[in-house]
Amino acid sequence: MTPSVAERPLAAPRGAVRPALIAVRRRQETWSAYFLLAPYIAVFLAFMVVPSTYGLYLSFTDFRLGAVHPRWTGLDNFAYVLTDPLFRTTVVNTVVFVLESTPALVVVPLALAVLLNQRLPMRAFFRGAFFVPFTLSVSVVSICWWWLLDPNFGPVYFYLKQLGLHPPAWISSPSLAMAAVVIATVWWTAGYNMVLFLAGLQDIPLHLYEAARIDGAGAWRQFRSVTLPLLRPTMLFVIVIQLIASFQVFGQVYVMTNGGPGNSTRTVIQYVYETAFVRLQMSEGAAAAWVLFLIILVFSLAQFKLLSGHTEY
Amino acid sequence: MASARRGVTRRTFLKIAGASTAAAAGGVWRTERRTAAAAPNVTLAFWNGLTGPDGRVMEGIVADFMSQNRTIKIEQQQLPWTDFHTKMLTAIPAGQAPDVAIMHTYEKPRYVQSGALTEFTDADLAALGFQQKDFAPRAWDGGIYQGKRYSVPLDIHAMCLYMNNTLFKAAGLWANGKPKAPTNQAEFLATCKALTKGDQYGVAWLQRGVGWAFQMLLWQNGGDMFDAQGEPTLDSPAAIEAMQFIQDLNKKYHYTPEGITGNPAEAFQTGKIGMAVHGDWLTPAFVAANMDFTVVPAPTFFKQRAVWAGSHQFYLPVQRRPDSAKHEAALVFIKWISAHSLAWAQGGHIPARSGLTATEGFRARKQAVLLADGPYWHFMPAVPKILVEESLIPAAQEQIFLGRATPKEALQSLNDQIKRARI
Repeated sequence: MTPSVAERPLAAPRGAVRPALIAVRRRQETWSAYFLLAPYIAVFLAFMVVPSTYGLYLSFTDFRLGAVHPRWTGLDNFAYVLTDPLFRTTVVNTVVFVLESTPALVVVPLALAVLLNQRLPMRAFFRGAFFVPFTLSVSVVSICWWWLLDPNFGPVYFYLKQLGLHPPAWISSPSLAMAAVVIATVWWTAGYNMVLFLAGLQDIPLHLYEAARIDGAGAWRQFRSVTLPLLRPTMLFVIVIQLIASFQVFGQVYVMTNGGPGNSTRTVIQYVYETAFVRLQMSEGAAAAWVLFLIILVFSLAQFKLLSGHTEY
Repeated sequence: MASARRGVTRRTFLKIAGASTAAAAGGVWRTERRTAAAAPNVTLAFWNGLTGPDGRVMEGIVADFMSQNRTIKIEQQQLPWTDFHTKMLTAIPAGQAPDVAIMHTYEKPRYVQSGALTEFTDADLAALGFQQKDFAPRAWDGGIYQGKRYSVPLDIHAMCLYMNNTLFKAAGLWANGKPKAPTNQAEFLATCKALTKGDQYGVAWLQRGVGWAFQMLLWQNGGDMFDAQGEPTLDSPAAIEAMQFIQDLNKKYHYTPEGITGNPAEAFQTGKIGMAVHGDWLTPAFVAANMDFTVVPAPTFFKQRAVWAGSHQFYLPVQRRPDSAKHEAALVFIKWISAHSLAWAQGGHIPARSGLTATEGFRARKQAVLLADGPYWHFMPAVPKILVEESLIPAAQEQIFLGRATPKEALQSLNDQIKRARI
């Protein structure tokens, strides 16, 4: 903290004013900081913390819309959710989506970032072009891909048939339906991860590449030994963020397949939505949402354990 | 520096601009309030689930109402029924209820359980001028639940059989200037067989959705959807047999093409499918497409005759802040539409007003033949869990029609799911 006035040597009159000014400035900055943060914190509390906590409370009761006094039922809703075959199906579907989309959403953006980190012509244009899909809303992306992949009217099927292939209708095949959603998702969000990787790549000092080149390393060896290890913090961030987002997939699936065919693409968030708002079992829906939170938490902690750490050369 | 300059500084300019804008806005606001007080306009929010071809007819009727009643403005929202119920049952407790809504008769237990509906008092009925003698009994009685009236009727609609006259003539299924309509399962299958050749199919049967046709087959087979306690009985042998028949139409006999997942109207309109078994509300679509078609009562596929039917009814949801002006305007709206329900019959339905069904204007309509089914009309059961069933059966039907589960497995799983649901 600021030194008290008595401790200053008398022989430095100019230095007498500065620490006091610094103290005042720091206090002002602290107040300005809180003042500027206040709107976000207010919104965060009002729309994230308070509803989530209320939902946690509701998940231990038998709450229904319009009920004045919900009764405490302990872990009953959690038991209901965890023994519901439909919930188990949705967890499996969601994990399948995560396992299919996360590698794609790490490898493809990384490749794009490495490519677009080189000195290429029209580099800025391509960086922008790959990022633009991320600015579209989920409904727009999903409807576009839904039409593209329509077996009767969609261009993808038309051109595949022109090439002589006979692709099965993806909407009636569970594995293809999920793959279609994954393709749409990768197209949509790869640009965002690409930007994150680009930032991480630009943090890697160039002299390390020079040193590696002098030591005789080819492009692939440089990538493996210099780029990847030094990208570790970025990689951790991207994978954790991607996992959290993938576990919460809802919009694309709801618009493209509505959970079909059958229940094969129904995800956990869709289960939460339908249980809470369509069947109006609000407390069971809240319990399912918190079970998902625990699942995501476990996966995120595992990622931190595996991927944290720093490589320094 | 600005302070050293004379004349209008930026700060001064901003102050003047801000003050004059505030003054102007205040003046405009005062003026608006004055003009608003001059013309008492009521805006009613009107929600319904009429997303089929009949929904377009309702839009026209609402526009006509507004042109004849200039002080009442109607804002209509049409949503698919499942989304509609979700929106209603969450908006009403939140105080965002619409002023008037159209639903059927079977949702009453679920809505009353949520405390979402207001009663129609005797004063309301007097204002509407509605009396029991003017309405078909099924429609009139359908508005009452547990001794209280929660809705007033608009129409009755029923499932029917559509036949493509051109294809029937080509297949030789024509006699006395009419297509030979099948009346039982054997005749139906024979007709399908005669119509299925090349890229043509016998029937366009919906393979997704809430399964209204399945319900009709279930009742015809002596089964029921729910028992007296309101618990589902969808895994009964009668239900499995009914569902198996529908699956056989596609998988065994190939009388219906794959992938009719939207509604049968689109498939039937291609002109390549001979028949469709669906609700009468598809009629306006086929009329607008200038198709040559005939409407007849649906066949009896199993042992007893039953015809899936329903009734659209007007409801007044509970308002957090009851507004008597809006309440009166809603009654005016309902009264007007009911008086014009012959125009609504263009949507393919049967007016609930028994006087109107006897008129020439209605008798000329294609769906007039369905009046003969009156004694066999079977409405959907009014039990609380009916909405849960509607939300779960589409996935079960998809499982069946994509061959991923047998009817028995899918219906048993569906039944268990509905039983588990706690509402």
